[in-house]
Amino acid sequence: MNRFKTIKELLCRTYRQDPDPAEVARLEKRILGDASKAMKKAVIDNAKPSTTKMWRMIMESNVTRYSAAAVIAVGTLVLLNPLGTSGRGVALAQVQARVAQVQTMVLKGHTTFTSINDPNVSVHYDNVKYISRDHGFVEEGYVKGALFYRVVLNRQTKQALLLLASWKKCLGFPCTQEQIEVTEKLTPTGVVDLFLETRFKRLGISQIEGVEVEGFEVQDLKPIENIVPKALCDIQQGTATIWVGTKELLPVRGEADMVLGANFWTGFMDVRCHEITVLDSYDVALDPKLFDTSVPEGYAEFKLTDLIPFLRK
Amino acid sequence: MIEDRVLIWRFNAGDVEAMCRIYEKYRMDLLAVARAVLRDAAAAEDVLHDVFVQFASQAGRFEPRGSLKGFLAVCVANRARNVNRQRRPEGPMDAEARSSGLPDSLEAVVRAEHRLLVAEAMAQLPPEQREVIALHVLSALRFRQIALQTGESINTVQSRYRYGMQRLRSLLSGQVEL
Repeated sequence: MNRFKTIKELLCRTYRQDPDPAEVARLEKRILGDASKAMKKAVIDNAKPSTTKMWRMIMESNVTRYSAAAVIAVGTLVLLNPLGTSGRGVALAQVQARVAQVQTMVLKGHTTFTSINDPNVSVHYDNVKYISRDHGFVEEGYVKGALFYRVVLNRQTKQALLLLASWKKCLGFPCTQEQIEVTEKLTPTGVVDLFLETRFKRLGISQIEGVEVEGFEVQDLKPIENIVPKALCDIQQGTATIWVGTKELLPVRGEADMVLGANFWTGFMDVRCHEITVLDSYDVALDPKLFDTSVPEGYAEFKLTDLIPFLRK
Repeated sequence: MIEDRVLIWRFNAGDVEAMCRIYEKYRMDLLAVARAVLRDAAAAEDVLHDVFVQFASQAGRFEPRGSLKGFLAVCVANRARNVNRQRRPEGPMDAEARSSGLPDSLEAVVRAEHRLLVAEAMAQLPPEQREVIALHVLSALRFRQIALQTGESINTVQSRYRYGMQRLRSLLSGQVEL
């Protein structure tokens, strides 16, 4: 109410003033230091069992261990594929079969776009991808911890939502099965399939954060251009590497270097794209609300006229 | 708020950066609520510290009822109220509200005096009115959000706010230009 407007201003001036920056920093260090310790302990104590922990539980019992081993031995014999089977190291066909069993994945990554015409023009952002065979696909981009964009494809409702958080704009549209399949080509499932469909080079055994991995490299990403629409990703050349855990047979890290043609996602510039993606977790419960495509409060519908300022540049 | 939903998800997954982002986002609001209820800067910082550490210890199973900001702000108000109950009876303002050092200008002197008067007026309000005013004005929570988090009816919340603000207006009238 207006009659209280002055009192509200007085209250804000009284209580919302910040002390000097040194005090703010001191308080932040104190609080976040103690909170981080509490959080790390809590994550361990409160974590729900995931398939990785289930695997450890199976291995701790002689009965279940040998049963599991028998299943894997039979499964491996059935699924072995001449492609990529060299008798040593990881067979990508095994990885393909293993990835096909995974129901959910959470991937974290970092992407850098650099303009080909001006290397000083670059964009860096973190991204998180949530993949669920039941619910669909979500990708979020963050710049300095703040949400920048969010893309949702809901497999069950066949709806999609593109959200641009910094502009408070969004675009909802129906999503076809074909579009979902195209998106899946960009997930670990699709990446492993791609490696099997093209010529790859083995990079040998290495270690990533204590996990033994084997590397595979594709030096020609041309085949992918027929899978992904140019409006989404115009790959003109590129190489990709995946590192696969030799025990779990899952891709744990992927890296790609590409030259992309100009489109909306590249800010209408020809760019070099460097992307690193790490498997954060798999077969964890993903909240179905994460795949909600309803328009959030405070967002307006994206219009083509919103693109005019970019097209003029 | 969609960003908060994502932050909660990442927080529950153990992402420390998400927790830091939550702190950075709501620090000012929460500290303001604590200061308004407690009137003591050091105690307000302790309350914020305790509430945030308690919040962090719920990582992995945190599911707020209502908004994240509403949950945190009411936690701060509740804890501040408990601290107040354990402290000495309300009396003259603590040093924090008094201006310290030489003011730069007449305007600064006036502002410092106003802050003292406002803090003293707030101290005269019943705790429940002070808390609702702090949550609504300083943390920008809607009455509906406050009612949801505190378990009170929305009419009760609105009444406390209205009576509290009228009392403040009455106390400050003649001392501050309203």
